[in-house]
Amino acid sequence: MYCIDASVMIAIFDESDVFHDVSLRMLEFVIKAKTNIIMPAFALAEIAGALTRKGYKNDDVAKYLNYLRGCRNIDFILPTNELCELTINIALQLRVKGSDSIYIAVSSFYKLTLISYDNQQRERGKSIVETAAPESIILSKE
Amino acid sequence: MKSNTIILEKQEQQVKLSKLDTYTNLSNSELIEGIKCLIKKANAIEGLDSKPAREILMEDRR
Repeated sequence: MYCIDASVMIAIFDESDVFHDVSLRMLEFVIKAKTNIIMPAFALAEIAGALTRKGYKNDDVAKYLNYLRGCRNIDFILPTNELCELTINIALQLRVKGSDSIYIAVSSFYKLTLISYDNQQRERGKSIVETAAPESIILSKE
Repeated sequence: MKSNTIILEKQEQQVKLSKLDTYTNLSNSELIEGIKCLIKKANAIEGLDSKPAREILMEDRR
C-alpha cells in the first residue's frame, strides 16, 4: 500500500512536467491493478492550488479532483485526533515542513510507502517510513 | 454500549472523505480514458505558465 504525494498527482495533469508520462503510467497501473492508495484529504487542496496558479481552468481542475476522488482504490483521509497528534510529533522530531509531516504521518499511521517527487520530503521521511519514486510502484509488480 | 458502537461507526465513516457516485460508478477503463481526455483538453488552452505546476507546489512548501 502507498501514500502518494501531491507532487505526483500534479505531474500527472501537467503535460509540461518531465515526470508527466511516467506519472500517468503509474496512475493507470494503480487503477488497473487496484493498488491501495491512501492520501491525506488536504492533498486535494494542494493539487488545486498549484494547478490553478499555473493557469488551468477551475472547471478542469475540479473535474480532475473528482476523478481522483472517484477512484475506488484511492482513499482520502480526514485528520483525526490521533493522526494530528502523530503529525505534531513527527514535525517536532524531524523538524520538517507542516505539509511534509502530514504525508509522513499518514504513511506511518497506515504503514504505507510514501511515493513522492519531493526529494526533501523523501530524505527526511525515510528515517520513519519507506519512501520511493513513482516508477517503483510499477517496477515492484513487474 | 449500543450508543458507543454508533459513535465509533460514525467516527469510522468520518476518517475517509466521501466518494462521488458519478465517478465511482465508472469502470476502470472509463476512469482512465476520462482522465486522459481531460488532461489533453486542459493542456490545450493558451496562456499556461511555462513553469511546471509541481515547481509551484514546491515553492509553496519551501
